[in-house]
Amino acid sequence: MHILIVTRRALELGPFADALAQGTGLALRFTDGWMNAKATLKTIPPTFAVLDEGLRGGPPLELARQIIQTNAMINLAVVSKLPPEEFHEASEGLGILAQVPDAPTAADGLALAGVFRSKRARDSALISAQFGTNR
Amino acid sequence: MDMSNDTSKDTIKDTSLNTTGDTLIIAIPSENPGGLGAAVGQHFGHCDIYTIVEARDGKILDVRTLPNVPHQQGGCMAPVNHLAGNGVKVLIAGGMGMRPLMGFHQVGVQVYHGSNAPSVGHAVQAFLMGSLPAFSTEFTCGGGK
Repeated sequence: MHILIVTRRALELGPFADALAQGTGLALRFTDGWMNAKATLKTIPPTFAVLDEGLRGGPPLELARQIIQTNAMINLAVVSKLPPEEFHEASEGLGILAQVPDAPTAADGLALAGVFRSKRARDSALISAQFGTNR
Repeated sequence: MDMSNDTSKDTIKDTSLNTTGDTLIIAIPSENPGGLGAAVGQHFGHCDIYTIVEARDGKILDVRTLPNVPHQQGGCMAPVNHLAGNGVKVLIAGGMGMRPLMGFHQVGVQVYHGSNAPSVGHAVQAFLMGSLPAFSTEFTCGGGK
């Protein structure tokens, strides 16, 4: 189980990423473009992915659409400068877990870790309920 | 097919039935209390309840209901897994986002567009007659751009 961060500025996002890893206890993998990200989905799919702005290939929400078409089970967070309401509108139907500020800090990493932890807990509860229902 | 608003005959029971042979388990997002006479829920993830219809050879064998699961931001795969885990093979929906549509495809659930049906029963009948369109990305919330 790991988090994939798709970014061309891994060093700049270091404190954010460190906090995210610390807050979730999950390993991080980095890749810097659409092609590698989509290839990774088929070989070692992440549980969570963070899609940064400034990628070659287009905006992160478009990459999110393409990722979903390959594997809709991957939970996504997207870096965006858009105001929250505009982001919500732009990402409608994509099931984006969280918007990440375009200059994310360690505090943003911890906040996102909390979102990821909550999602894992909800998923675990649903799986337990499913086993309880079906078995 | 009885399409009256009397849903009292719809049995609410355990949904752990396995599909075998040509039996199809069809789910329809519904307004409370569900059943063939209920209105089709306009967004599958936020519906009150699912009506579950078992059909074979174009005939309805059984009708029951299945409660929805809580839906939070980014959690639209929860109902996908919920329905797939209950053996659903066909979903008739009025609206959904691109992620759950792709998710349904990936777990082997066929999705059809049935928002214009006046009731769940009409939607099921239209599906069984082969007159519902497949739910493509054009129908998704946000337009599937």
